[in-house]
Amino acid sequence: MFRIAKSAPRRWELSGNRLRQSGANVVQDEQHLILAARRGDSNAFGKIVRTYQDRLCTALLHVCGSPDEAEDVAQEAFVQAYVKLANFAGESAFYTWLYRIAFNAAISRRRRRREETSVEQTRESTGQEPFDDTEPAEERVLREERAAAVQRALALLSDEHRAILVLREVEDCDYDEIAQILGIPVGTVRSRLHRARLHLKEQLDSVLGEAERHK
Amino acid sequence: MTRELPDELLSAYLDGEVTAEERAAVEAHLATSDAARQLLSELQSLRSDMGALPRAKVAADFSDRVVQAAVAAKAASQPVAVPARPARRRWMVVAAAVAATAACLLVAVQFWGPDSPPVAIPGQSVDPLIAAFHSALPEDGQAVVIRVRAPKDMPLTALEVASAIAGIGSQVPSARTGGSELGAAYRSQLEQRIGAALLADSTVSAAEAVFVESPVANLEKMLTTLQQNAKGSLELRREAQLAFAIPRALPGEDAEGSDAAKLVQGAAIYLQHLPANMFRLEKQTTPVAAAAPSGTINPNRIVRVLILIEQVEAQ
Repeated sequence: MFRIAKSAPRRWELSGNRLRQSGANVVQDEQHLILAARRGDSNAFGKIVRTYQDRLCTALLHVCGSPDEAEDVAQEAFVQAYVKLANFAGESAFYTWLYRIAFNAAISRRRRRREETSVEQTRESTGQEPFDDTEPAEERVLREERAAAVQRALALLSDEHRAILVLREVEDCDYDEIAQILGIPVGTVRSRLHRARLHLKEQLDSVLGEAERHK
Repeated sequence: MTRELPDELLSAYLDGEVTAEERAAVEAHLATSDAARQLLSELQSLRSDMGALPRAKVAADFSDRVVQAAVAAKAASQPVAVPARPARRRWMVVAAAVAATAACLLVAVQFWGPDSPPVAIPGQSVDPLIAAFHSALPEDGQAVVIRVRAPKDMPLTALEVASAIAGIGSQVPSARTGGSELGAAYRSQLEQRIGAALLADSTVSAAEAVFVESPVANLEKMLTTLQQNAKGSLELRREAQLAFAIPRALPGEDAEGSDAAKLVQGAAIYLQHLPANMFRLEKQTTPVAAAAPSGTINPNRIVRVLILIEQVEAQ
């Protein structure tokens, strides 16, 4: 199981197509690693895994709702990616391709295990092990309560709404990347994302209202 | 917002995903609409909330475990099992527990591929796991429950990888596939045989449960891949054989074109996960012995199998 770190940076330095714009050398390195891994160089694949493991697990945490399941799905996605690496044509960023594999695996798991997943488990998975010891305790508690409420509201959304919100707000994907990963037109991304935000707002108001009534 | 300016433009505006024209239209609307400004502010607040969600950091050995599993899965994905031509079949690594039975596995097995007639190969050897699988195959109109003993250090995700490599895709459980009904029939039979009072003490919970409907060849491929992942230590045996009712078309479905009809025609190849904690297995203290198959094996025959994985300490 992985740790939950609240103080990680908001945006990723290595992010999809933006990586191409900001660091051609990094892209070339990644391409070399992919080619080497395709030839069977497991060390090269290990470097790719280490580059994306935290990012992928963070996204999956919010799709799956459970740290353990997110890590299982991430492992499954990396394994599938390695086995199918010859099929990666480089038409999209490697991470986009990897995320698509992971996303499909996560949704598939969620559907078949929906009966076993409880909102409480999701709630418990948030706000663990804060690392920032300098933050005043009161602020930390408020922030964690808010994060737990958001996480709970997120868990109440449909899979498709939760997924698109994670891609946009956690993964910082632009609409084109979201369209590629979900396999939907950009116009649908725009409308679905907006509906997802409205539903999240609705659920968050409900969760916060409920918490307020219990105080 | 007005009808001329859909709400979703506000989200797109917030994300910087609007054209210059759309931006001008949104900004003009924001200048005159309190409601639009309020909604934009709420959407911005939501973005901020999502951005503050906790982030994951995996354990230090995560990448090592992933690479190890990936290398094993890739090695297992090489074409080694169920060849169309039996002459290319080769010996696989076998479990020590079943090695003693190898002598009796030098059996005559017939295989025929999609475009080749049945061919008898006297003396052809097969992996003991596959031989055990052959001997566990159901009779026509029946389905079987198969128990697979796997070492605890074999990740359960290996099953998913193995099924994917074998071309058996996951399917969401539904009333049309019959997996749940077969599972219920097995549980009922087990309870009758052991007695409800002794069930908890005499059985262990399955670690994983999957219902598979597939040609024999794909199941062989899946088991062979799994066997390689388990370093040859898998054991397999049939726990039960049950009559299998062909799933009915759901109300409102066209029976001919429905999934149920495809299942009847044997066109479906799929695996569905069932809640493992619903399935019990009789406690076993002795290794499971493989049995020699009899008759001929048609790799294209569609069979229905409930596979229950039991995790045991690695030997």
